[in-house]
Amino acid sequence: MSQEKVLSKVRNSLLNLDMKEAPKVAKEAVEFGISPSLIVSKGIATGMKAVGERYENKEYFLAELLIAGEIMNRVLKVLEPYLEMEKAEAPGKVVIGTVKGDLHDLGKSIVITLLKSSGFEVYDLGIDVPAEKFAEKVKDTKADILAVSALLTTSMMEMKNVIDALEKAGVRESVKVIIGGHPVSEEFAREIGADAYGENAFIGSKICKKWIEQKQKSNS
Amino acid sequence: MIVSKFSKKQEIYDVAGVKIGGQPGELPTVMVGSIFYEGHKIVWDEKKGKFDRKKAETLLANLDRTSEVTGSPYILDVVAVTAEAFEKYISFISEITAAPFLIDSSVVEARISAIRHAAEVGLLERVIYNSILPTSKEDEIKALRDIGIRRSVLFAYDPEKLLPMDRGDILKGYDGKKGLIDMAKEAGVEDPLIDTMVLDVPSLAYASKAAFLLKKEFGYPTGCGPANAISLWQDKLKSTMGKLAHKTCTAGASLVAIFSCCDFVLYGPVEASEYVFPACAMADAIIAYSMREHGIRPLTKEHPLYKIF
Repeated sequence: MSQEKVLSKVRNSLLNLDMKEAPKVAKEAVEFGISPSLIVSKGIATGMKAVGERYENKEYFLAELLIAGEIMNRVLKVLEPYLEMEKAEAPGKVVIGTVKGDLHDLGKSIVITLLKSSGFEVYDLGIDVPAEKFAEKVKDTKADILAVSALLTTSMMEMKNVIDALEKAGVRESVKVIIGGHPVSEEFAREIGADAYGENAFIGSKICKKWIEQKQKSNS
Repeated sequence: MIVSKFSKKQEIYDVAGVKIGGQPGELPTVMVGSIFYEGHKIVWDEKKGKFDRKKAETLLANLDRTSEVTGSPYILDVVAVTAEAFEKYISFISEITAAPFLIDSSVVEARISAIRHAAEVGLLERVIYNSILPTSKEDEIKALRDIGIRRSVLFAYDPEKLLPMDRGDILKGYDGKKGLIDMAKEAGVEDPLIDTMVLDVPSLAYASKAAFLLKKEFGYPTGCGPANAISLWQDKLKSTMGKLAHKTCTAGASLVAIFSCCDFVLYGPVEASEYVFPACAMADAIIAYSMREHGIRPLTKEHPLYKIF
């Protein structure tokens, strides 16, 4: 069997939402001698891209995105020890969480899936996260991007406190801030001083990728 | 129409006079409508619980009337984000109506303190906790036990178990994860109700099928909330197909759940009862009629089959 055929099995297991098969074929790919970072970039990331295309073409809906995310997590768990050995460099670091007073994490989970599938190092702070905790994590990890989510109009104002906390911690200039969630908008992002608004998970993850590409270009 | 007699005994609960559960055709679907929810126009201050009392009274009076005419029983879904707001809403509800109600909040502390308040003012028998989730922490379960809650919704949602055939694992537990049924027992819940979670409108397919399968396997009253999915869709729906289409789809989504044997449906804002109840009462009547071939008859003469024609 060729390397490409093994990688296509990984891609297809994601695309066909085969939760049982995906971790098995990921292991098979490692045993075949394919580098874990290649399995991520040519297997998982390409598979997730195809899942995203099916979503955009209305062949898949939210449930399939969540299932694909779950499959990806299982595959990454299989690859984790090998990836650590390989010490592949992530394109960027993202801290992500849902603001204090808000327990919703559906959109956030999808964003995490898409970012991980693109190789990002993601620090998920979970839900109901105080503003200071966001700032601390950004400082500790030297994150490139902070992604903040809220689903309630009562909690969206907490996003402004997150930006204030970043400023107070002296890290606002070093990190790009993107916000997302049902009640927020482009205009709201501008109002509170965020750098971008992700209308949905796909747009949000595309913005993050664009930021990192720009950063890499300006550093080279 | 996926309606059949279940071989498993089907539990029936009496929540402050509203009966829920049973074999299809025995009892009408209990309609759960939300009040004081996020963005509800009658609410002036969501945190302090300030609202237009007169308008709220009118809404509940209309709800009573619609329920009376159609034979569709209802439970209120009282939504708030703070303990302060809950106290005001509960005080209002207890003055105006004898209906049972859900304590519903995305903020755990707020819903626990609301349950505690309901117990203190002697309303616990009318209350259903919404909800115990697979992610509920020990302290939430302990607080429920200490307060003495008897009824709770169990939210059967776990991203690892989204497919209908896998949902039973969320109730039973899997891979070392505690199941919702054990969590409910630890919380002292005697009467669990299962919510199968609707993500978006297409996923109502999963939620409805899961409701059918869970009812078949466990026998607990089961339902889901198509309303949230409709509200996520409503901007596009209204702008492309108009306000009437929004109403027909809201009612239609509840019908999908009812024809899949759901015992309760979170149909949306209480205002929607006007156009949702008649359609749902009709569906209940059709189901009751079809269940005659299995020897099942409605348990009450208040059933829509005897009221709406």
